[in-house]
Amino acid sequence: MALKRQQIMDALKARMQTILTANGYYTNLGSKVFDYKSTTFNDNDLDAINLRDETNNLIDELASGQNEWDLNLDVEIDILFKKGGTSITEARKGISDVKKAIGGGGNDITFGGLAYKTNFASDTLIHEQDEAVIVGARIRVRIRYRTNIWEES
Amino acid sequence: MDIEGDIDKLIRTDEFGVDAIYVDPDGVRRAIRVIFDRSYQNTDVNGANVANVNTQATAKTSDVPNVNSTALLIIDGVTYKIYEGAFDGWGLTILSLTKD
Repeated sequence: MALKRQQIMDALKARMQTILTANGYYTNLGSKVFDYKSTTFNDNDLDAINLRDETNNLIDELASGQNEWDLNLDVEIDILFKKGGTSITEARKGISDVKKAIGGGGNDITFGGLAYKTNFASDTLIHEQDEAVIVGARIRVRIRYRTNIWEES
Repeated sequence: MDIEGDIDKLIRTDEFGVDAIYVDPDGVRRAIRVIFDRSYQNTDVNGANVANVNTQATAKTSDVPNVNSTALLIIDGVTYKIYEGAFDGWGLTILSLTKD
């Protein structure tokens, strides 16, 4: 049986891949979306989105059914822009694009019923200065979903 | 101890030094010598590593007395902005350089 957590992350990745100027977004971040890339980002990997689902928390144990768990999957969506003259404005546009792709314009925050809902948690701008300036942001979202007890399905 | 003399020997072009043009915050250009260093660096961006380059030039403090973030350094025809100038207290200033 498919892992619900994996299905949610796959759906989120597919949603991020729609972030293209051709679809009405500010940026083309959707052209390079990674699922938990832990190796170094080289020039050819940027601009990019990197998804990381580090933490999964059991919630509402009493409210969950006897044979089910309700869970909060905390996902970090990192956006990174190619170096060289990129301004922090690009990162602000990227944040806007990610939010819009998840829930803007009536987009389905249940990812086809895989989750109950998705909530925005926070965003943080990033600006690192070396020979090239690197700008980006981290957007945190919380995805609430249900599995069978002790299972990921 | 002749620190000034030692510094001059260090940044001679036949040792470690290279020729550069320092453009001060008022736009005044001055030919100086620096020790130039570009090294690969992973820039940590909230846990994501991005390949980058750490670029620095070490100059005599007396050659760059009024350095700030509006000053420029030109080396081999490449213009760098100086985003940080750190005095070492012994007559040298480390200039952190960026192309952006």
